[in-house]
Amino acid sequence: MTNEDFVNALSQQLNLEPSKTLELLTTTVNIINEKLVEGACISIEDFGILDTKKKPEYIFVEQKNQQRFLAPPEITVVFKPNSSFIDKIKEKAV
Amino acid sequence: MKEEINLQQLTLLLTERADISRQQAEAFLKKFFTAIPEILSKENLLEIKNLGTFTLTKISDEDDAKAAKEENDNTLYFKLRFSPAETLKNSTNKPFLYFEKILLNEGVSFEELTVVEEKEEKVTAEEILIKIDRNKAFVPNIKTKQKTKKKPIARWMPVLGAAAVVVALIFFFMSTQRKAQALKINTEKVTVKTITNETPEPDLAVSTDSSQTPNPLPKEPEKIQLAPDKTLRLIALEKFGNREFWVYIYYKNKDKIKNPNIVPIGIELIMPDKSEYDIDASNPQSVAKAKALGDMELKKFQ
Repeated sequence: MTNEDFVNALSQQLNLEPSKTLELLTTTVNIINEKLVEGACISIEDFGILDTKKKPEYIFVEQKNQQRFLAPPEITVVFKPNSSFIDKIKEKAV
Repeated sequence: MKEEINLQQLTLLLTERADISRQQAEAFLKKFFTAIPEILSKENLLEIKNLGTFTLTKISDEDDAKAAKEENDNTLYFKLRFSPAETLKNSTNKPFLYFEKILLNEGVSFEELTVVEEKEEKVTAEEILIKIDRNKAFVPNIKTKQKTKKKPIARWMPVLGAAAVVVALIFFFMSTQRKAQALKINTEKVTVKTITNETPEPDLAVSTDSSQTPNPLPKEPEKIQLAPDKTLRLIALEKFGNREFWVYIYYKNKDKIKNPNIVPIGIELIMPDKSEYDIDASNPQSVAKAKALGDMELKKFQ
């Protein structure tokens, strides 16, 4: 599902104009992004946790010539779903 | 300690930024977060602009899936992955964004670092393996899969869960005991008051027999002198378990602190009583309330 379809789906469920839904969605995503950049984590009941995680530097070995590189550390965004989220996914298979 | 943003705090922020009522913001956020798994349970992909893409793929070639298939045909495996959007990825990785891979000369070694072969490096996002036994539907069974190493976190989940329950029970038991003790003291105080009202010399009667009655004097408020390396937030963290409670220290000492951003070193601060401001670090609502008040106070000085 694309962002546009997601906006339409939310509009229908919330009985809102798509333009208003898009505005709220953009604001929500901006807030989440800002908080993640600040180093906070977003913990929501019935959803899960959006968090940042630092991957340490590592040595990368190229397959063709076995050259070794020092790869820099990286801060990535990770998502850990909670049990309610998993249950909803499980409904798919049943 | 990492700041944790919950639905309540997110609602407050959305209310401020989008200029809508709190109810509207809460309804939108609840729908937003519940819609994601609902959509994923019907479709395999959900892209949210500037946030990222959630993908759910059915797997058939995993070793675990193969083994399970031999035992039971009703077991299904799904892989859930969240790939952050490029903008989010770059902004969270800002400190290391311009770092590049450096070729290592022969003889240079970093023994403590992990060595990753080229073929292994492809997997970057963390994946969640979801096992579904159609005979036992809705029984959560989560395995976290990262790169090629298997981490049996799920195996420790029941132990950690049991430990959490025991800790919660201990806290509950201690708080009920404390409440019972407080009630006992209150009833004793009431008894003392009635006795002293009947006696002609109440002050003397209480002071001469202090060993038998509890001390009726109110507790002296705690005072702290602000050290050069301390801030209101640090003191709040030490005394009350969360930085957000700084605002109550500010309220208690408002007559001495003109601007909470500039607190003079060496100033004597009176510590507020926990009960006076409903200070409870274990209660997210109490923390959220303090944060909202703190933000409101800080805005006045911007």
